[in-house]
Amino acid sequence: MKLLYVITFLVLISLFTNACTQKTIVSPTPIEPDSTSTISIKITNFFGSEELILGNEYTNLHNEMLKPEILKYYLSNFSFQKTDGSIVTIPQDSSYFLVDQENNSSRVIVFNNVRIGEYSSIKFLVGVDSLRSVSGIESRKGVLDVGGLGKDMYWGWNSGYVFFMFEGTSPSSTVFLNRIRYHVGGFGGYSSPSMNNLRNIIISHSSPIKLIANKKTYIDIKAQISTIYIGSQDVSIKTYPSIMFVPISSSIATNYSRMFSVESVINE
Amino acid sequence: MSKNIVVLLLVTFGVTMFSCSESNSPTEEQFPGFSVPKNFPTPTYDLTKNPVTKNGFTLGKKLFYDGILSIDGTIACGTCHIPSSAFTQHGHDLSHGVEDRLTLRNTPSVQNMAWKKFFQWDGGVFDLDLFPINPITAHNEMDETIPNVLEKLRNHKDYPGLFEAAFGSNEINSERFLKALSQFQLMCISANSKYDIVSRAEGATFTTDENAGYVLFKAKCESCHKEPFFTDESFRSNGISPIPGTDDKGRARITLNPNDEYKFIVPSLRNVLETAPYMHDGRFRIIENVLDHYSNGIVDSPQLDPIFKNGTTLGTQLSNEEKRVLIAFLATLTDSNFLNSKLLSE
Repeated sequence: MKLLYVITFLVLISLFTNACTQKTIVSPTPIEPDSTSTISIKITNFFGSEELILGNEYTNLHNEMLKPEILKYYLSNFSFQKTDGSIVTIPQDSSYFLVDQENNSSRVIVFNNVRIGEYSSIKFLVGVDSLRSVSGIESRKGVLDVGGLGKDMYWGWNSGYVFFMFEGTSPSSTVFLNRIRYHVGGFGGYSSPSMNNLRNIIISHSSPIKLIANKKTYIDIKAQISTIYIGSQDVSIKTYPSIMFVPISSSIATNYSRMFSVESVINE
Repeated sequence: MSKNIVVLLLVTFGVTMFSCSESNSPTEEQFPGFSVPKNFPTPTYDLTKNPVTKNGFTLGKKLFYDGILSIDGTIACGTCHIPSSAFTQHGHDLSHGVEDRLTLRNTPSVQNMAWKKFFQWDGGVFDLDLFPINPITAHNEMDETIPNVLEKLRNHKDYPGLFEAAFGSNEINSERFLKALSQFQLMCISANSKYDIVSRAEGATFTTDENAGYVLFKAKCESCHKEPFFTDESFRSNGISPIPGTDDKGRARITLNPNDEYKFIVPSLRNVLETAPYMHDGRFRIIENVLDHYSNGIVDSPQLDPIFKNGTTLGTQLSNEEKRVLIAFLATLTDSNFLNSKLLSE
C-alpha cells in the first residue's frame, strides 16, 4: 500500500509539473559539451588615467573638475563575430545588463555555452533595443523591471529606458547645488520618429579572442567615461550641466560610443 | 485506502487546474467581464496577455482608489479620475498631486481604454500597462517609486491575498500590479449613451435638434472627432495660444520635432458635457467657450492644423442656432450608466 502511495505521488507530481509548460523544443543540432566555453567579461570604468571611483574628483578635457556620484548604463544584445565571418548571437532574453558603478557584480558579464573558436570582435548595444523598449510588461524582468533593478532607469512620461546615467557635482555647474546630470535615452520613437540614442559598439582585441574547450575566457574591457565630454561635439559642464531628453544628448551618446576598449584576454 | 488516493488525485488535479488558469473563481458569473460593444471595433489592447477576471478587476479597482500608490498616502488614481465625471476631475483646470503640487495639464478621462493607442495629452505612453508608472513616479503627481509601492503592498494586510486570488499566488511584482490596474481600466467602457442606443438601433431615436446637431457634427467636427470614440487619436494644434508663463510644447516633448510643438491629442467627446473644464490646460470652463473658440477664437501659428485654415478666415464659423443643436447632439454622448456605475465607483 505504501508503495502505491509513492507511485501515485510521483505520477501526480509529474502531471503537476508538466501541466503548465509546453514540451521543451529540442534544438535540432545539439551542442556537444566540449564544443562550448564560458566568456566572462569584466568592465572597469575609468575617468582619464584613473579607475573611476564614485566620490573621487576628476578633471575632464575642458579642465573642469567633477565628482561622480552615480554611473549606470545598459548594455544589451551581445554577439561575437568569428574570424571566419560567422556570428554567434547570445539569446536576447539573457542579453540585458545594467552596469552600475555601485555594484561590483554588475560589472561582470558571463556568457555560458558559447561555441569555441577564434573571435575577431564583440558587438553590443549601449541601451535597450527598440523592440524591447516597446514590448509588454511581461518581458521586462530583471534589470528591465521598473519595480526592481531598472527603477531609476526609466522615463514614465515618455515610455522608455534611460540608457546611460551619469550624475555628480562640479564647480563648473551653474545649476542648483552645482549638480551635473546626464540622462541619455531615446530608442527612436514608437509611432512617430524621435531621437534615437541607441549606439552599436563593435570592439576587437589586438589579436583574435580564442575560446578554448574546458577553459574560461576572461575579457577585460575598459570604459573611458571621460569620452562623454569630447568627440562628435564637445560638451562642457559650464554649457551643459544637465542633459536629459533633448537633442544634445545624442552628442553624448555618440561621444561615449567610443568609450570601450578590450584591454586583455586570458584563457584559464 | 484507495478512497484516499482518489481524493488525493482529485485535490491535486484541482490544484493543477487552478495553477494554469486565473479565472476559475466560482462567483465569475456575477461579474459581467470584458466584452466588445456591438458598435465598437476590435480592441487595441491585447487581452490574451491579460484576460480580465473578476478577481483581477477587484484588485485593480482597490488599487485605483488607494492612496497607497502615492508617497504620502494622500493621492489615489481616483483622486483626479472621478467616475461621476467620466474619470476626470470636475472643476479643476489643472490637476494637483501630493502636497497640492500643480501639474501642467487637465485630467484626461479614463474610458474605453482598451481601444486607445496613446495615453496622456502628448501620447508619451503607448501601452496601458505602462501608463501608471508616470503618475506614480511624477514629482507633481504621486511622487512615489514603483519598488516602494510594491513593498507597501507586500506588507499590507489585504493585498497579498488579493494578488493570490487574482494571479494564483501572493507574489506581488510590477507585471501583476500594472496588469491589475489595467484590468480595472479596461472595464471602464462607456458604450450606452443615447448616441450608442441610436447607432445600434436599439429603440431610441434622436430628437429634431439632436439630429440637426449630428448632421452638423458630421460636417464640421467629425474629421478629427471620429466615431465611435469621437477621436482619431491624432495630434493637432487647434489654435489655442500658449498661456504666457507656461511653455507646454505638447507632442514635441515626445518627438522633439518642431512641427509637433503645441500639438495635443484629439480628446474623445464621449461624456463631454460631464468633463469640463476643457482643453489640455483646462482653459475653457464651459462647452460654449469651446464652440466659441472654434467659431472665432482660433489663433494662427505655423503648427495650426490646416483643417482650420479656410481662405482668409480661421476656424469653422457657427451661428448661435448651430451651437445650440451641436450641444444638443453632444448631450447624447452622455452615458449615465457609465457615470453612475456601481461596479466602477469607489
